[in-house]
Amino acid sequence: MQVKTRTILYADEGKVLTNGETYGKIIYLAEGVSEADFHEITEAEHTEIVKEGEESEIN
Amino acid sequence: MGLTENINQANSDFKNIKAAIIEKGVEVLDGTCTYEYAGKIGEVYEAGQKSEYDRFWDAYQENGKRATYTAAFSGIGWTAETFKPKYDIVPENATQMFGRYCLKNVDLVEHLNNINKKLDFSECKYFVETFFYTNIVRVGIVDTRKCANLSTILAYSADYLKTVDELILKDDGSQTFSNSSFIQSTGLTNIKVTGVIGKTVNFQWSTKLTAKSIVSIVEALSSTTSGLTLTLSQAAVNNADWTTTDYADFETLEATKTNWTITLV
Repeated sequence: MQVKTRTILYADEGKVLTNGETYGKIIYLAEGVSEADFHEITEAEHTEIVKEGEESEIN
Repeated sequence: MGLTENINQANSDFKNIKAAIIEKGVEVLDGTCTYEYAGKIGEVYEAGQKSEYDRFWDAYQENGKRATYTAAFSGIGWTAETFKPKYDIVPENATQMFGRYCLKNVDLVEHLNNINKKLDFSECKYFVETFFYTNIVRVGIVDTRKCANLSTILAYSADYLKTVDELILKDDGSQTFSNSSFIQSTGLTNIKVTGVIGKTVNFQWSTKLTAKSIVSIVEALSSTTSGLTLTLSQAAVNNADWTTTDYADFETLEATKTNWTITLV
């Protein structure tokens, strides 16, 4: 029998998890991906990052 | 002028009118009565309209051979009234093809059905911001299998575009997606994805996706790749009606693709 377990990370209230490329409030980690790669930033920081990404894309 | 001369002149005049009407492409049979000529002149106007329609669309669609449709139907001037192509549309380049507030509230599938024309993307190699700030609400099948790069396929489709009947991808998962493939596709609600997603992809802006759409996206994720990420809107996942799908909830669905990192934001 093969049992696969998935690690799920939950950001604290007002925070967003990121590994520098991926952002999420809930992250279902793929097999082989370490939770140690992720840290929290604030929602405001995340909003700013998203906005910068959108502006660089449209420009 | 005597009566006979008047009648002869009238006959001559009507012969000239008849010849002029026929020259404009309207049939005038022998024996057509004089009172019918007003209608014939109306037909001349309609024939002129048809001629002008043909002249425009023959040129605009290169007699049905046009392949580069870059920005072809972009802008507010394109409405349900003006968008009546003469030929089926088979683009090889669809860069910003339906961009910039075109076709406000038009269901492209219904509209094209009504005018008996097809939009066939199966030869398309370039989907660059094809629906950039479009005002279309629904498109039909978007077959992308001839296109390698889908970096901006639905980028900035914004609030209007709600439904993509089917997004057909290659079966080998080789097509490139980027963080911007679905950037600002905020109205996107219904999308059926077939084929394989084999690159990191981000739907975070699509907060209204239905449960069926989310299932379709997750089911399209490659089962053989690793190190890839799917980003979905947490609001979409939370608000989705999972009873419309074969999955009890999102956790049941995500468990089918443990080779992907799936983030909700």
